[in-house]
Amino acid sequence: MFGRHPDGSERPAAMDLVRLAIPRRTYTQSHIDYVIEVVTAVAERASDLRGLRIVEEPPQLRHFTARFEPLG
Amino acid sequence: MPYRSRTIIEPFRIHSVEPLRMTTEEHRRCAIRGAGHNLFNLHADDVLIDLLTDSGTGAMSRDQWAAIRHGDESYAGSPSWFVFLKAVQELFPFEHVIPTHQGRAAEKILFSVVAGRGKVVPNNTHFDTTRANVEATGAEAADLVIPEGLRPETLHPFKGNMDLGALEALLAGASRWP
Repeated sequence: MFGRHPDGSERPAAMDLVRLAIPRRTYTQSHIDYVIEVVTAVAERASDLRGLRIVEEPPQLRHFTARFEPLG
Repeated sequence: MPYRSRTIIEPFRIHSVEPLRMTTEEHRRCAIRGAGHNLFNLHADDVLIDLLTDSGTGAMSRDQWAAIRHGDESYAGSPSWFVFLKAVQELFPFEHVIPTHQGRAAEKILFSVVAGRGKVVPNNTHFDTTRANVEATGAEAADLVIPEGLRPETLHPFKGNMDLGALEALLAGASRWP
């Protein structure tokens, strides 16, 4: 249930996806153009970005409250 | 030839505006560190453009705001309730309707009644709280998304679609479902 398996092991997800939930009628085209610009700039640096390590996690639905630290 | 514009415009104009709070890079770094690098822990005031919140953040129309002024908060027999009940029963064949404040509360009630140990709940990619509510009852959440949905390199008009063949096979098999 979005946490470790009962034996404490981790199974990597088949895909790591980012969801962009766009609220209806709330942002303008310029806001969305800005988001595209920033996401593109991040994607261009993808190979320089480091991962994160989980340092605190509840047993279930951990993505809501887990805490992370950058990998060294 | 009639004129056809290249630009698609929004079919509304803006009626009420809310300022955005601009922050510095240092402020954002500090806020993200404080949140343990989990965006769920950020304060909304520190977010410039919120693409995380998935319900209740769309801009309201003037008619929706006007409907609030017609609304009524009576504990029993509120006219707003009958408007809601009529709309739900026009769309769905259900005799009994229980209003809830959000999807996860509805899932909790629904799956505690219809799911449970030994049952399988198929779906085209359960939402995270949906899967959690299914599994909390002891049931299995079977994700039957189409194979194209699992191939990021391919284009498809709706990658979230249900694999109907897989659904038919599940329903014809030995599984118990709600």
